[in-house]
Amino acid sequence: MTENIYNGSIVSGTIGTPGSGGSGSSEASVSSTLPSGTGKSQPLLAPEDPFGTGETYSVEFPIHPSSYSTPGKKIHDQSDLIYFQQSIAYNRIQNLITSISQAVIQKFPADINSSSIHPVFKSIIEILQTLSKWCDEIEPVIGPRRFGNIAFRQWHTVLENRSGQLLTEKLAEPLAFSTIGDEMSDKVSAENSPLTELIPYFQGSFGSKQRLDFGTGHELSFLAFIGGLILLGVIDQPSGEDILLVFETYFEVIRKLVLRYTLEPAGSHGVWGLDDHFHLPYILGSAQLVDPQSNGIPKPSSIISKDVPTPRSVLDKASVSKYARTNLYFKAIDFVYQVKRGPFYEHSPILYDITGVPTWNKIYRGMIKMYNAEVLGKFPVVQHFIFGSALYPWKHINGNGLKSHSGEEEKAAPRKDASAVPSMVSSVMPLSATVSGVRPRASNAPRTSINPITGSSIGEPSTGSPTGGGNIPGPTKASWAKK
Amino acid sequence: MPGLVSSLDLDECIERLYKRELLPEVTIEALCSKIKELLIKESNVVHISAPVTVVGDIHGQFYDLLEIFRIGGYCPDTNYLFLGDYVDRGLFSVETITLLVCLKLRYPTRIYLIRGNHECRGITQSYGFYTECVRKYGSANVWSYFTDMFDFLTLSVVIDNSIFCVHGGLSPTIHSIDQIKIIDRFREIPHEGPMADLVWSDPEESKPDFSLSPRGAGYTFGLSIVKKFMDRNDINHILRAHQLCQEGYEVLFDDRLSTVWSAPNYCYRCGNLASVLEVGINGERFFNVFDAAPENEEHSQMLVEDPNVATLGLPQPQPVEYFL
Repeated sequence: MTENIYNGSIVSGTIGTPGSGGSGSSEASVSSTLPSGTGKSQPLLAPEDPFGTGETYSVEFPIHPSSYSTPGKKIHDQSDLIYFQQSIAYNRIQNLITSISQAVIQKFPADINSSSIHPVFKSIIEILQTLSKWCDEIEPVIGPRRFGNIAFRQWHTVLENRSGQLLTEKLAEPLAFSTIGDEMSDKVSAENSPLTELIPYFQGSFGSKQRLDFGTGHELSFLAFIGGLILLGVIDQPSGEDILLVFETYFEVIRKLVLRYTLEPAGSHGVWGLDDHFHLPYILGSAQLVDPQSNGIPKPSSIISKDVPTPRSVLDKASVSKYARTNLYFKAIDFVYQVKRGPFYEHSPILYDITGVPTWNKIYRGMIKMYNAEVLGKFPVVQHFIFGSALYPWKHINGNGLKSHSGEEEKAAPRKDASAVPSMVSSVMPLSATVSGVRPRASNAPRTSINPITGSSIGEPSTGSPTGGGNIPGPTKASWAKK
Repeated sequence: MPGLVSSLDLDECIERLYKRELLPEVTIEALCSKIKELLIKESNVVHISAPVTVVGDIHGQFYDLLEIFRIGGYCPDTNYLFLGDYVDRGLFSVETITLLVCLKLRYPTRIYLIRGNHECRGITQSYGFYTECVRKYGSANVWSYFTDMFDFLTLSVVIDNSIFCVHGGLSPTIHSIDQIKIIDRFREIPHEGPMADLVWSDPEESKPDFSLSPRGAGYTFGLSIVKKFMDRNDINHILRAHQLCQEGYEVLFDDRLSTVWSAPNYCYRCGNLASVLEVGINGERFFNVFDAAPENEEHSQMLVEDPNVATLGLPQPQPVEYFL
């Protein structure tokens, strides 16, 4: 099996400190760690300090998916965030964001009819198209309603009932191919399949069935799904073109759901947030425009290519429409123009202020820092994230178990020998002993029982809204709320 | 001099605020200090008389607040009761709350302000008001003055002994309106208990009793709870805000409870209508429905037409944390 940085041996990254920011001097880290233009064959190394916080660590965590468990929630209150930030799951997510965004630098989305699209990505895109078709078929309910359209619940039920099978059909073979092949093959049975962990992330990517909203927590779930395929080696060294296409296809499904069923922005900060629903398109889209040669110094305008938009181009609707065809940042802005009324600087002051940032390199780095602080660093968002045994384990990066608010330490798996070959299946299974599920604190118990709609034991990804509750820009949800 | 605000100053403040001008930080400090002296005298349950126009969530949509005055009449010609959620999410929370504070100081018996769940330190740090204060004043001082003042806002109003008004809804620990009167309200809104429930709860038609709220605070309450509360307290209607309504209002439980929502096209995108509820001297209720104020749109057209012209009149982009 091919080893790569995604599933592979050494990962360097930064323990992000929300809001800690960084100095301008770390701008260079974007360009210094770029692939040198050799395309897919060049492994993408995560930068030493991608977020400019100055704290780095280097840790080994080969993924040994010999045992899978249904993912569940582990973040039960604000104080669990600190454990989350020390977890393998957190660091894999950060590394994933860095890796996939660096892969799309100077890239455009693949043509959907292109024969060079990775077959697994092609399958995911087909499934997303099927989801989109269900949306066409399920009409919004007509009649008085407070806001979100309850027909979305019907759509979501179809998602829950059918997407697992679709994913199984499309992914069983590639998963078998990538994970079977030696003595471990017996372990990859139906009961112990990577799909046990993959499917909940996928199903948690499309908004809250109960609250009829969508936000960055759901978006994170899709990232985790794609990341899972990469971690498992099912998609080896994904191309930037493929990454852009699959994410844009996903974002399009979401935009369609949001418009058709008037899904509310989950936990919106109103005009004081980046965007009502999304963050990842801004990371990927700004990465597309990163100039690998630049050290963050704005070029003289004379040598700026006519075909590269400036950050200021966001204010010109014609430019936005033009670049939206190939750039995810501009596509996201295009949607903002589509759904919002009023002056841009009033309804989107943060995006407006970002038009004053001189370079895309700086915007790209800022978007990642902001994601760390405002998505991964916010309890109302990540309380819904789910943790399994193999892909995103609730385990310290040093291999030990992690506490959660209950003070209960998860059983530590035996520390894997650091010298072992970082192949996924050829060695012992250090993660197999991970406890699945965590006991809710007694005082929380009533809260956990209030969601009869989804009520499933798979971590209720469908209620994984960032913060919002019921009403429009997500009815305000108590920040101390526990599920 | 801080602490001394003459009525003349107030008129000038109000005039400037109607033009959406920001007042100086020292003036905000003085206004907040002064209004605390006024609010501390109000009971947790204020009794008022009709006619009164009741306003729901505003959330910093200042132009729409002006639209309410244009439609419903200006203070003091029209009596107003505001049900809370003046700040967060919108662009002009500071201007909105400053104007309401000035009007309350100027016409204390013509306008009443109830506390909403957003009038609180914790929520405003997450949902925009804190950010807005720091951007507009360069420090969090103004946010501190306002959030300290929020601790003094009353929790409920009863109109003509017959309409109970609150921001969110009922609480399983409050059976009688008199029980509200003994709450120590001069504090940050707690995470649970009767004070939290009054600002956080929502009606729910499908469940007759109290249930836990998906918001994580407060409860949902149904028809049987509403009936019991009305019988015990001899009132005939419950009036609250707190939830967006596509049509600007919603009447539930056989006309026993109304939700009034006063932020049209919420967050510049929801396309919803808004309303104010006019309560007449005989208890009759009329929802005056309105759409977003024209000012919300008026600058946008030129942006679309000509980006070069448009950029001339635009504000200077400000530095944003994370992008420095």
